[in-house]
Amino acid sequence: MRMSYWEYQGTAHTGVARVANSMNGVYAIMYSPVGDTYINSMFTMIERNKRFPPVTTSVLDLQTMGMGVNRLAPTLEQVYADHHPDLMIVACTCSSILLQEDLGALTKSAELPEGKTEVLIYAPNPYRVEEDEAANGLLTLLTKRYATVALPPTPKPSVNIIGTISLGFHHKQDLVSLKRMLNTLGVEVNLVFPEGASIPDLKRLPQAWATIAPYREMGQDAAKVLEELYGIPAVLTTPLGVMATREWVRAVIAALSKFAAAHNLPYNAEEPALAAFSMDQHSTPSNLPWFTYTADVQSFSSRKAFVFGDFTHTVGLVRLLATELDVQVVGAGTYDKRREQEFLEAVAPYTKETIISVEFDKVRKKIGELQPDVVLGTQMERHTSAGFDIPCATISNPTHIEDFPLGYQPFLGYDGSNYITDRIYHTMTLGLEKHLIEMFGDAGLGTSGAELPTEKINENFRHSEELRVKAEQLAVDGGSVMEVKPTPAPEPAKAPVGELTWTSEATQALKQIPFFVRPKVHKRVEEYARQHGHSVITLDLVYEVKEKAG
Amino acid sequence: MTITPDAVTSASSEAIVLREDNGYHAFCGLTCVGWLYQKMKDSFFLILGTHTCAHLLQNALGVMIFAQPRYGVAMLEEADLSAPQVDITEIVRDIVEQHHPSVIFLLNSCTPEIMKVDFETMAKKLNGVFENTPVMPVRADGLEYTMTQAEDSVVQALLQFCPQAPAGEKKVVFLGAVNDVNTGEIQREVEKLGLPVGGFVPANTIKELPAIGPDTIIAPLQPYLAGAATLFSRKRGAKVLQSLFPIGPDGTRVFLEDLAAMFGKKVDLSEREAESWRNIEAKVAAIRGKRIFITGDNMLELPITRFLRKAGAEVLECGTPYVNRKFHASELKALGGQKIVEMPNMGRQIRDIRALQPDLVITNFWEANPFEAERIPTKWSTEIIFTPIYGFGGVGELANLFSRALNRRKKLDLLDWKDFLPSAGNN
Repeated sequence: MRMSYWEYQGTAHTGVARVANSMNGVYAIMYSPVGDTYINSMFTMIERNKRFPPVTTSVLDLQTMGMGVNRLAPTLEQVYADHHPDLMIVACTCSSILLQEDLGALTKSAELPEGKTEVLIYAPNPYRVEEDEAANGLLTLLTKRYATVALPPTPKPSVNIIGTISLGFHHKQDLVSLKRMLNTLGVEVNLVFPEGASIPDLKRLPQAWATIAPYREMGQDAAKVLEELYGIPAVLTTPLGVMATREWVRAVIAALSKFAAAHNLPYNAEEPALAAFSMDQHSTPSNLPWFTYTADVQSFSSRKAFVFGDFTHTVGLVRLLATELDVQVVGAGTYDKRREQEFLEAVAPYTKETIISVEFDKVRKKIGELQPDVVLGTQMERHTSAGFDIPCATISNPTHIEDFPLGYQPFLGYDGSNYITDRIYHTMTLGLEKHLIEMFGDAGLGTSGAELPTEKINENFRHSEELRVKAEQLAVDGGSVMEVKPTPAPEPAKAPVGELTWTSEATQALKQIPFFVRPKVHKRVEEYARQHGHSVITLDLVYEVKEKAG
Repeated sequence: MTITPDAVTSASSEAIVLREDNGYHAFCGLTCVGWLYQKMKDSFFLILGTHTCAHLLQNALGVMIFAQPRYGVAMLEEADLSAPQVDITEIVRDIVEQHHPSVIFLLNSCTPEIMKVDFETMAKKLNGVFENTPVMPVRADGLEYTMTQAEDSVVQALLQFCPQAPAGEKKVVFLGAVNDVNTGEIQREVEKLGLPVGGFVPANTIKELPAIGPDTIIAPLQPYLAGAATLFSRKRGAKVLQSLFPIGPDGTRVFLEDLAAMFGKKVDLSEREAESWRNIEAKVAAIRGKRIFITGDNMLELPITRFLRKAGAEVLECGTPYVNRKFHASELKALGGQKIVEMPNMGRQIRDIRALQPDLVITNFWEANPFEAERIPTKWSTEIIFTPIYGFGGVGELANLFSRALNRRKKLDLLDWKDFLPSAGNN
């Protein structure tokens, strides 16, 4: 028993629903009380799917349970009549699994046309198996069940892409990026599974030359099944970042070569020129390497980052940050407890601090301890980081409506490396600006800026003229960081002020000082002048004060 | 699925109530926590449930809800399933220390229900340990309750915090979680009629709960509080107003007139009603003559249907979780000839809607966008729960819900871009 306020993953039946919702002609029937189909609202609202989700409930309620009525068979009959699916998957939820009923026997009484549809009972223990693992297990099961007959290889080099799934983090955009690269390699896509695949399609899995399964938690076991049964090489690396993508490209070529050699097929194993992968066909496909050499990005070397999320994105981003952007990774973690050892080994070269936990509060405490400059995490870490005033970019599920943008935002491939770098840079830049604001205007903006949201402050900072006005107002109001005493400080540009007169040269010099320290300098010069009995402030005097102040 | 005409179905002068029995899609009772914890600012909602319950609560309302609100799940893990006894004392202790709530609502869920956890006893034991923080057992599991039905359970649990009103103290107490703007408006409206107002249940805090006694008049604002109204009447002898619900100019008028009658006053609000209709005429014009289908998931469907019909719309079907013949008697009488379907079968409804091509479908979160993809305009049913639609003050918001959806569609359809839109069946 533990107290839960929030979870990184859903339970097993959510994974089943995601597989069904990805595919065509597959329907999931939850043997459950009303309400366990709540996941449907995520498909239609968050992912903005257009179809009615192929997920329904065979309703369990106390009244009918008491009467010994079981609705499973009639539910299957109605689903068949309404949708004619090739496959109906019956799953339990955390309550119905306790009834320990023989679902096979219950479904047998359904009157379904022979040979037109099938019923599959898939009921992993919801107390042990979470969302991702249930979906992953189902992909393996379906592969074994339907990819049963060896087929001659496709005439041209082709691959299966396994793991692209409904509610996957930027999965559909990754798919575009992967297909663009495969196209450059002259490789056709034999089948994407589960996204867009049907049950008859699965029979075609064995005709590909290789299988690509880039997500560690989704579909790699199915890829291995195809490797074991049919000798189809599986490419299991994740093309996240420039180096990882280059390695992935070479791994794909190697896998295809291996398959071609084994089957005596013609294959040109030459690596295409880099420009061939680019959007416009004549420049570099990734601007990350040049970006990271540019002068302003040098400051990244002193930045501390913390990364937390699923296995795939966390491991990929830790490497990208530590090597390609040369950021200090002060800590990394995952909620994927199932792969703890593998995760620790994967991040060991890049970071010392690690955390494996499904409890966000423990992750929050870790971030509090480490005080990184930037966090890359899930929506929860974004929420946590806001509390610590640390900038954060999201890099992993749990899925959120923001993860289904209208524009092209892949994480994988060369295209993904560009997008990820933009995302990190934007997060970091805003962080830097905020830092500056705090340095020079903390108390002032803290009071008059209390009503301004952070974005507004940053916006103001960009429009320095606006902020100049603000800073001058602050000086007048007595912003404490500028050490202006409550006595109103005069407008710096106006001279003479009080008994002190500024020469035009001195005024000019004051104007050259950056706006955010100008009031402070102005005040210090006047104090100095009074202390030393000057009534006219000359350029020499300004320099004198500057030298003495160091 | 079979549609069985209800035994009570009667002459054409009344509504025709049908009941289906499967393929029904709604949120479970736990969902009501999402708004009730915001209404009751000194409460904590503790659900004895599973990982699924926690995942539901953070996602079901369509927005991701983050950490440490005043609700949480005491999560049963595998080892707890075979434990001789479920003990949540330490979890409750942490809640008391961290959140200092005035009351903890302890909600059951499907799994402990199947495990046959004795909630009443569990709450009683906890009340012995935490003397200053009452723990109230509340039934909300999906085996028996949909979202608004569980709100009834919560309101019932509040009775014991309502002070005893002495005999002879004749005041009206309103039942239903409505926002502060709406409570203020309703109170003013009722006081203008010279009727003394005791207060609202739920109130924003436990201390603000009104006194209830034998001469209290209980006026339910929402159709899903039958259990609470009955309980308040049985335990304290309070009288329950039997009327329309104060939704729409027509409903509000009858509600107020019937309420005044219980205080022995005869008032005629026909001019007030007419003025209210005049105020929303531009919006009503958008609704008039439209064919509307309500799939039904929150029990507000009967009064909404009545309002839409009065506004000149044809309601093709009024789906609803269930109809309470006694509690909804006035509404049913006002819905002569209307087809109402209890626990509607979603598959059948989708078929009917495709065939009927209504001008507007009022439906839940997960069916709305697929209907839009088929070029059938929709309005979220759940939005009705969150909108202050009650009393004369709520009439504008109520009409807006439907007129905005209809007007927006009309404007968008003028653009030459239909070929950009999805074709049916593709994701």
